[in-house]
Amino acid sequence: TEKKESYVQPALVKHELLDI
Amino acid sequence: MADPQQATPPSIASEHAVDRTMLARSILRPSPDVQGTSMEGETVLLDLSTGRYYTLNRLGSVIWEHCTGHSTISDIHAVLCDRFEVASERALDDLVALVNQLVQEGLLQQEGR
Repeated sequence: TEKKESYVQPALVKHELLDI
Repeated sequence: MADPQQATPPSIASEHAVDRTMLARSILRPSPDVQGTSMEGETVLLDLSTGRYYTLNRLGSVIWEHCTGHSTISDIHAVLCDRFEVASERALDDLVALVNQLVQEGLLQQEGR
C-alpha cells in the first residue's frame, strides 16, 4: 500500500551566460 | 524582447546519444567543471568552464542526485519506477532524454562499467 510520489517530466532549462 | 530562458532543444547529436544497449553498464558522473546546488527540490547547475547555468526541476534533480559515478542508467531507472507513479517505459524514455541533454551540454559524463 506504499504511496508513490507524483511524476512530472524531468526538465533541464538553460539560462543566459553569467553576458549578464 | 526574447525570453532569456530557453529549454534545451530535443534534437540530440548522435555522438552524444545514450546507447540503449549499454544502460546497465553506462556510469554517469558530473563533469569536473560543474557545480550543483539543490534548493527546495530543484537544482541549479553552474558550468565553470562556460559561465553558463542551468536549472533542473524536481524529477531532474532526483536524477542528478544519482549521477555520482556509482549508478548506471538502469539503476536510476529502477529508482524512478520504485519512487514515482510512472510507467516503466515512460520513465526510461524521459531519463534517457534528460541524460542526453546533460551530456550534450557538457554537464554529465558517461563511461562504461
